[in-house]
Amino acid sequence: MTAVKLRKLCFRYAGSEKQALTNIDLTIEEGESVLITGPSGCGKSTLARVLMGLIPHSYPGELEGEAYVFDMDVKNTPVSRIATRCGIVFQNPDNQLFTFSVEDDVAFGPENLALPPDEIGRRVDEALRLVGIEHLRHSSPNNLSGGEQQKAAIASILSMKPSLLIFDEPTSMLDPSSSASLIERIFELKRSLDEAGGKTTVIIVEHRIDLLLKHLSRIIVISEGRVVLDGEPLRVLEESFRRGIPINIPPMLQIYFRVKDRCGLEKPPTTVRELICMLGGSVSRDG
Amino acid sequence: MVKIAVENLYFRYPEAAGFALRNVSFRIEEGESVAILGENGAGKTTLAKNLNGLLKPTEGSVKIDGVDTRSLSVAKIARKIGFVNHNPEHQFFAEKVEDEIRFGLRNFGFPEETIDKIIQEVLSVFGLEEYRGKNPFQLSGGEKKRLAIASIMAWRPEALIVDEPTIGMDYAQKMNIRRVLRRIVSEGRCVIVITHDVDFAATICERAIILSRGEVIGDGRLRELLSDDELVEKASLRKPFIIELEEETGLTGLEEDFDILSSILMEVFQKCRS
Amino acid sequence: MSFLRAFKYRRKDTVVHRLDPRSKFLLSVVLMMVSIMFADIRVLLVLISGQLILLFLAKSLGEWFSSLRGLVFFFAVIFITQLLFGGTFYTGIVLSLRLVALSSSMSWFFLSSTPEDIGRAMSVAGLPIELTFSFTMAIRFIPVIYDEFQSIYDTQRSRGLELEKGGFRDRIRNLMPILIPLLVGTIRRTYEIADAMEVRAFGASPKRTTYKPLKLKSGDYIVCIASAILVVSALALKMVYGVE
Repeated sequence: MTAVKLRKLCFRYAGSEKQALTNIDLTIEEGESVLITGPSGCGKSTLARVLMGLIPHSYPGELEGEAYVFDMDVKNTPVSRIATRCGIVFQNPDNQLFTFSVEDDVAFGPENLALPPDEIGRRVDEALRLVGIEHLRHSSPNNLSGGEQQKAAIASILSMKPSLLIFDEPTSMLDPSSSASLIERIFELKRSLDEAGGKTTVIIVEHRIDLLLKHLSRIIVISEGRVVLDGEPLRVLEESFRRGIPINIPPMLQIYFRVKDRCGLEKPPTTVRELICMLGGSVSRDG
Repeated sequence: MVKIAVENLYFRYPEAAGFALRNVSFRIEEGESVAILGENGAGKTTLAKNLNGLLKPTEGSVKIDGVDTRSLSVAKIARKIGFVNHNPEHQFFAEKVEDEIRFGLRNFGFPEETIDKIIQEVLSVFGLEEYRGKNPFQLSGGEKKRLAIASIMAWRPEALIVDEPTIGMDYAQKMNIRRVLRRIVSEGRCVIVITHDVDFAATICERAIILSRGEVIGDGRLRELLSDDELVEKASLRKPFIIELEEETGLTGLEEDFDILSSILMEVFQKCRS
Repeated sequence: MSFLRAFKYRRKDTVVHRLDPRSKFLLSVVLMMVSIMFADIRVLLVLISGQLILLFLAKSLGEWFSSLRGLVFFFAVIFITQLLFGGTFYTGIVLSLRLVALSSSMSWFFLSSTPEDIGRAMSVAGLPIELTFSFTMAIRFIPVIYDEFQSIYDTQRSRGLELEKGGFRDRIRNLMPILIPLLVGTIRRTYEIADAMEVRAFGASPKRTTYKPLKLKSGDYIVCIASAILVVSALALKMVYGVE
């Protein structure tokens, strides 16, 4: 099934002269792990809002073209309906938890859906387990670190049982070790959901690429509201490098792209040592 | 030029159970560029706020040019040591970019005739001239950051503390901030960067002070500290790419400029061949 | 404001903490009424002793004692006004005791009920979810917004802002660099919170369920019965025996 289908999508925020999104054509199939990246202000967060239906329902503006999420037309489907198939975790960990215990926050969504209490209980247990934060069940969000808050926010989305998970700059307020742990957790989560027979689609909107690269099946680069590149991760990064699109290409690849042709490297190194070995190897092979 | 001396500093927030900083001692000499590194919650920002008098030590002392911060007002210290918040929006209130810069200058009693001249100068140095009359809140993230730094540098403090300058910044914005901070360092001013972005710190700072759970676990040359695997691990940091590259190749003094790095690497291996 | 400490919820696992917020609220209201009804020093002392037992059961005597220090100022005000306006030392003591009884009636309730429990009790009482939710959220975000305020205040002080400087007008003007960023930040936060609530289907169903429905347990019935007895005996004391 197709998770996301956008056709000639344009959006302009009310009161702004500039188009935030221009002619976006995009299809994302179920089960993909997609990174949407691009310079700040390129429109990538706006795109995430469209996928959740927050645009056009909560943000006034001009929306043209078509946007479907699991065959639901976002223009006339209420956000609360979309929310049962599609969940989003935002950037700021502080503003996504509203109650005084993680457990209550995880229960918040299902409560709104008016599910029976025992079903809510099952969902809460499962969501906490999947994110690995059972031990934080009774903690107050006020006392959690940013990384823990983000994990709680993920759990509170999982209890809605979405099959498309969107992350809008989930690590931008976290330090390196919490970021790494969060990213690992996200993809572990996808694996265990898939093993249980689901087909989870992950869309991450981020500047950071290094932590994500090994998990991705596809990268989409947006610049000034348009999709400028879309495809297999390494190819997209190399093309961005050639065209000088300012995205955070990991340092290793920065060097790899510069030397690969002249040194005849065939595949990118994963560690610095490998890079040096490859360079040395290419040298010794030549000599 | 300013000197900061921290001696046996202990700091505890009111009503908190434990100390946020424990037995911190170091000196920062004039013109030094220092990174204060550590994970979130290690006490970096608390330390920074002790250095410019926003917080006063619970025990021990912080001295600016030999004077205890307890006997100085925040404004007095701020005149010498600028502080840039991690979130530029925490400081914007004026309707125009230029007034945002004017604010500090007025507070410090600069004569009106010179203020306009300084504003002009600062705007051009920080590449913000075209935004002079614009509302600060309408700037992009990177421009906001530059304006925040500009509005502090306007009164030419002798030292600058920058809290998490790269948070939420993309590649191009980071490069811009790096350029701005490097220029301030090259003017001989002391720059203290609080960050967990080790790659960024490595391109600006000579020295690093590494904090973990409120204690200094490393103080010295940044490159030496960050090549110590055990220390890096203990502080939950990461080894900067440049340092890894130096270790693996035996080269020294590399800079994070990928064009140069690539050609150096190719040259080295070409030499190997011949 | 150290006396506010007697009203701040602290997570503890005690008989009192486990009670249903509704029965606790009932008893709290009854206790308040009784403290206002009587000016007899014996009744007030008995009442306070009873409350001390409640606070003891809630393992919160420490908080209560430390809050008494905060009340000293009010005691002083009471005595001074009494002595100035024709009262006696005795009426001063009575009024002070009444103040203690009154504040304790509320303090054990707030000390032992999570803001969420209070919100839940409000919604069971028939208040709309939007209202009760705003209440719990306001309490949840107070520390977050306070942190933001502190950060803004620190930033502006580091730019040479001195609040104490100048006359009355200057001082008002000096507040702007703090209030404007705080306002902008709070508005932005409100939008973000609204988005986060919406994507979790807030308002989707008019029949919202509760994961942890409030249930009255045996302890709650005891509290309710005790409240009833208290009301009856207070009325009897007042009307039949004519206790002041």
